[in-house]
Amino acid sequence: MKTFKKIFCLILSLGLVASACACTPGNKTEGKKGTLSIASFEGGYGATWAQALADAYKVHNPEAEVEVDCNPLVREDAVTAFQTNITSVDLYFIDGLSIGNYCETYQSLADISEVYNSTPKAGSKEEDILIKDKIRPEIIPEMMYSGDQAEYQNKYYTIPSPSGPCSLILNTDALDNVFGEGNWSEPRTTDELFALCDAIAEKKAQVNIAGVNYTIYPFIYSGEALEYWRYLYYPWIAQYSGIDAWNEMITVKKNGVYDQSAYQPDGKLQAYQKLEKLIKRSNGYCDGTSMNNKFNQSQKYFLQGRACMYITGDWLEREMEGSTDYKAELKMVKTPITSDLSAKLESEYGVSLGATAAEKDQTLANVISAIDNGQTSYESVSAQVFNAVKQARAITFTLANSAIGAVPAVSVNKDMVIDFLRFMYSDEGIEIILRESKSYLPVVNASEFKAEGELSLFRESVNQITEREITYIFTSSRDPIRYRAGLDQFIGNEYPETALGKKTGAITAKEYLEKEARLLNEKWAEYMKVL
Amino acid sequence: MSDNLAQGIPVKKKTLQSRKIQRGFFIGLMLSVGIIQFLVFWVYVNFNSILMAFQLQTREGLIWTFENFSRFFHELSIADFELDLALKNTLLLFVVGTVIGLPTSLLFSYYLYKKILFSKFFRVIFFLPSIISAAVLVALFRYMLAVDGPVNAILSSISGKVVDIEWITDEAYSMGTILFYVFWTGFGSNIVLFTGAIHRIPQDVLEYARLDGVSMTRELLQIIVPLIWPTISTLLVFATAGLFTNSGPILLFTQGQHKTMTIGYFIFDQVQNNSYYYPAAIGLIFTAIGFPLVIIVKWLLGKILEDVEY
Amino acid sequence: MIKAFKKLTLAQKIVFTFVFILFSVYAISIIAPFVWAFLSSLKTDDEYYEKVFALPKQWLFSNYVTAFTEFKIKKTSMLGMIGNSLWLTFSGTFVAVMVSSATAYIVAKYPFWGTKIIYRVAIFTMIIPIVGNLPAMYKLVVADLQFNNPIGILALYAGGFGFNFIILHGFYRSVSWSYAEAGFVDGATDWKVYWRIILPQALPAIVSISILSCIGIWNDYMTPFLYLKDHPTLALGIYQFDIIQTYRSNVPIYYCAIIMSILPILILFCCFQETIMENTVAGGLKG
Repeated sequence: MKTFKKIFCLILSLGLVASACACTPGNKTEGKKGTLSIASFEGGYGATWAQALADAYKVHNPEAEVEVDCNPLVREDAVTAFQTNITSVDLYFIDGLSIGNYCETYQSLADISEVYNSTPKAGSKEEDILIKDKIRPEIIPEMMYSGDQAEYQNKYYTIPSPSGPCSLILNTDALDNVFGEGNWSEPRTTDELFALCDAIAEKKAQVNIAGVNYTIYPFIYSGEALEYWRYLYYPWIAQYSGIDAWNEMITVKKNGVYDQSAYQPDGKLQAYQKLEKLIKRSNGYCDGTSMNNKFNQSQKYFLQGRACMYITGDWLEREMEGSTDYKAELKMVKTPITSDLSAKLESEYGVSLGATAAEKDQTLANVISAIDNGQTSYESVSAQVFNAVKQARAITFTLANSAIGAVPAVSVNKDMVIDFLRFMYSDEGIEIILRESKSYLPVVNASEFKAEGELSLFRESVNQITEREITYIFTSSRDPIRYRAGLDQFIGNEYPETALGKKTGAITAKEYLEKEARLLNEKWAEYMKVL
Repeated sequence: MSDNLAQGIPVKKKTLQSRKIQRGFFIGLMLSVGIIQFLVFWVYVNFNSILMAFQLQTREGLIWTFENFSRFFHELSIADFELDLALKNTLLLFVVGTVIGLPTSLLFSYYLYKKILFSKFFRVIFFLPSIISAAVLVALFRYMLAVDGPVNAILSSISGKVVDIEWITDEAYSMGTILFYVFWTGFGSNIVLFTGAIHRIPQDVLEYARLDGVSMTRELLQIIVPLIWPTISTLLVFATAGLFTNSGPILLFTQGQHKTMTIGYFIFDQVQNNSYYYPAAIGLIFTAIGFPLVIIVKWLLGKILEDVEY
Repeated sequence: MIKAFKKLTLAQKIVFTFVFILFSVYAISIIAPFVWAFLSSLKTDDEYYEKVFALPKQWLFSNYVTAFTEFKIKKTSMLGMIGNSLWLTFSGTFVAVMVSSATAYIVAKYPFWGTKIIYRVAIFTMIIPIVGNLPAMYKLVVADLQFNNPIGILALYAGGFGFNFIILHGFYRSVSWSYAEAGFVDGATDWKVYWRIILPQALPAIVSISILSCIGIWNDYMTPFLYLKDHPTLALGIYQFDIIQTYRSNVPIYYCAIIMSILPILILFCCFQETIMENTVAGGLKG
């Protein structure tokens, strides 16, 4: 009893000591007028770009007070702030924010349309273009409210922060290791992709890592980040069905009216079948540990050369800089075009691209090469076909619509935020961001900016992609059927990548889409009730 | 304190009335902090959450409706949605964690109490899984069970074949793995409570029994279990109360993939997607099932053994 | 211990040996991951992924220094976090257990119409999953009450109707009332009976509950994250570290932080169990 009391007293006094040093006022709940407070989520693009931007801004505006807080908890912090309208932060940079939800339910987003109608400005240097014209046109609508409540319509609530293309990434060292240096070529069509996979799988080449031999697989992925596959098979849908059909799939609307059939455009099945082929276990295209791996574990294995291909975004190099000593020559390539496109073009334009499937694909691949080389036509194909392929080639997946900056409605420094964002979108701001995050803001003149110094193969390849004609596609939650009715990127409880790629009980793409259609049909009435 | 009793404070005569007032005052004071805290931080804060079950955000704004409830029963009937599987997994978690887990913890506590060799050491070790956060524990567990991890390596060397079982990401094993994890790491806090309870049993009771030559099985079942019955039944009541809300370590293991969905995780997942009205309704449905269930369990447990005062 | 073992019957010897082996296997299965985590904490990140189950090539104890210096939330160092954790854990536990004990005692020993309702309400609140209450809670704590400081936050822990209540209620029901009655006869007030007669008897239960409560608060990162931004605790630090290391992979440093965070509570538990188990047994009986 006495010992217990002693211990208890000791603990209490310990606690009192701690409390003595802890007894300062609680965290700030209101911003300070005149001090711009920025909170930036620290993710794959690193922790430094927002601070660097603020430092440069202060050089131009010596009187401005700017505080930057960059850490990985900002995302959770922002959710609390936007759900409660209590925060001292004036500008949040986060990934993923449902404009519709935060406008309708919480009224917590500030209208920042003023930025869009202003010019980029660095110090006294103003540019001759409005910011809304400087941002890529396909991203622009994503920054606006697009629900059905009039008071929010036609207003901008977010602004893109740095984010670039997501696509297929090759480990050229691993490919050299398998085939001999330069003895392979980049896949331009999906048939070429599968041929490359077959060739790699057949070689059963090995790589030695710290004394252990590993078979080199065509692909590696991570069960923790299955959605990376979508950077590949979503473009296949859009390439085959076209951008309009893609947007209709995202909003589940046809001609502006909700329509179940919009959810499964004709290219979806083929795209899912290709995904199935890639990740089906018995095909042996993927490293067997993939499903079990953490994502940076997989990325590390990829850099070690245990696989030739990986799918992710342009942040890969920046992300892996600090976490591994393994180096590999990586190259991002444009998403291979779905080989089904040739058949579609043939029927649509009444032409023949070749006698056999192989010939057709060869023609398609040749057209792609011609496009990539900047040619405006290809000998044997019509201008119509050439342009159709060109459109498909431009399609690239990005997360640029969800990596955004947003201003709380309760911010007391809106004027400063607007001034800061004008600087961010100036050429100087874009250069700083390129230097620090190694990625671009989604601006129309991205190709004018060159990073300083010698570029890695990866950086060069990403630049090449952004320099060419590019049409970004993305998933979006801006339509009420997503944010209000709750239709997720997929329906049901099982991700498509899990259903098609699992070890036991995997189903086919056709079965998956049938199930998806059934589920949509079952839930349709509920969705329609709130729309 | 015993001094006071021994010396005997002179008995003051008080009217029954003043005694009653005094007692009422005492009861009020003892309950006040708890009740005020409850009213402020539970009723005030959560009242809205219960109302949400009857609300829906639509084009016209917030409306009052039973839609969320009918939606759940509708989704329950859709085979492709696999909510029946979620229910089954939820019950499995309960069976393994409580129906099997509690008696095992009791057995563990009993042998720890019997001062088995190194029992102090064991007690600390058995408690380890409860000390650290589940995130860390699951991370360690996952590495142990990795495809190229030690468990498979050991199995390979025993069987002489290459074993590459995906314990967590193959639906043939995933739920089993999670159940095993729940069982294997679930003893800690129960052992603390059980040893606490066993140590409170008057030593002479057990001493007499031992002199009578009572076997260990009888000692455990006929003396210890009845004497610590309040603790056992409390834990059972508590586990029953958490039956549907307890999502298990699903978030850390599989996020509901690989056929491991549970009701608790389903609700969590819905909330993560910024949808509150529907999960609030699901919660209320399971409260409506769970509440009578708990009362029945409590009544049954009371029937089995009356509380013993000692 | 050996002597005691010799006294046992053959059947008992067999049972004890069997149980001992079982316990040992279980203990090893629990310890192994921690030993492995410790070994991993001494590697480089690349080495960690190369051979997940090998000894470190070089024993990088410097990782612990790195962890200690890198482990920061804004200006709060690890020591500061430990201080914050200690305060929150002990004062929070004290408040939580005292309030629960008071309510549980009344509900168990002073049955009247109110107590039955209270018990049912307590059960009800445990069954109902609460969703989407974060905004309301946050507004209440931060804006209305301004409890977002290390003292005010204790009000959040002063709940009298949760797990602690249910367990203590069970204990109090079985606590002998005869001492209390003797006390009342001697003219003790309800207050005195509670403090002087009942609480000492309930000490084993209080201690068990306190241990569990300590661990719960020690590991909770959500409350400090929301309400104590300027006073981060160790759990919050670990949580932030966990997210960071998914982007800048450095698992060994993460394990260093984990091991450093487990140590205080492990040491505490080791000390506690000795003193407490023995003292409470005696204390509870002597009354």
